[in-house]
Amino acid sequence: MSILNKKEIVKYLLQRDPILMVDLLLEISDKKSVAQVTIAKDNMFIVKNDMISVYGVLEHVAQSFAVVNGYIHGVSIGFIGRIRNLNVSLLPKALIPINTYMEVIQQMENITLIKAEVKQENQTILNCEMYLSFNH
Amino acid sequence: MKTSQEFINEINKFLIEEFEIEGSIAPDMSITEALDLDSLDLIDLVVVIEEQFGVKIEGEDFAFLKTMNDFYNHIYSQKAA
Repeated sequence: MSILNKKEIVKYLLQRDPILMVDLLLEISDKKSVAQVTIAKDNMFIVKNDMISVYGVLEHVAQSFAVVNGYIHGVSIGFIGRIRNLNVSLLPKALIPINTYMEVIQQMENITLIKAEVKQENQTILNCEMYLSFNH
Repeated sequence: MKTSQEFINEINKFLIEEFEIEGSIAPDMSITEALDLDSLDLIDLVVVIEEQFGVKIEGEDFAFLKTMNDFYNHIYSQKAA
């Protein structure tokens, strides 16, 4: 059971298809949250062998946290400011759900630093720290 | 309890290593100038200061922390509290 389904998620996010890269908000608590996406084979971020590019996964991470931010603070324009400590283990595949586990490390004014771990079928795809800026 | 100068030396040594500063830090320099920080780096500063010294710096505190001296005094007073 999700906190937000795909129909509800668009109320908290400015992105729309074909750039929309998050389907569900599964969990939200004080500093931690979990989101999910299942990418179609015709998604713009698909590379060879129906795999999703790193850029697509990072966009999913950013949008996932934008949903969390929108849910808590209201919808706003957001930007990725910086990505740090990016470790990519493998590229995820289309049509299989991807879960992203996010934790807020620090927030200051309009900038939030999160750490994120992306998994597919219980395998870690990538982890990173991401600085996101939201104009409230 | 360390003297304030010992504490300043400790903070400077830590910041020089953490932010890879070449040269020294002058107490009358602004924080962003002394540490060569942009707005995203300020979050890193907050994180490392909290981890290293156990002092939490809020975003609004930076409105009053103009120089490195202000910064040292803030951390020292928070530690002493």
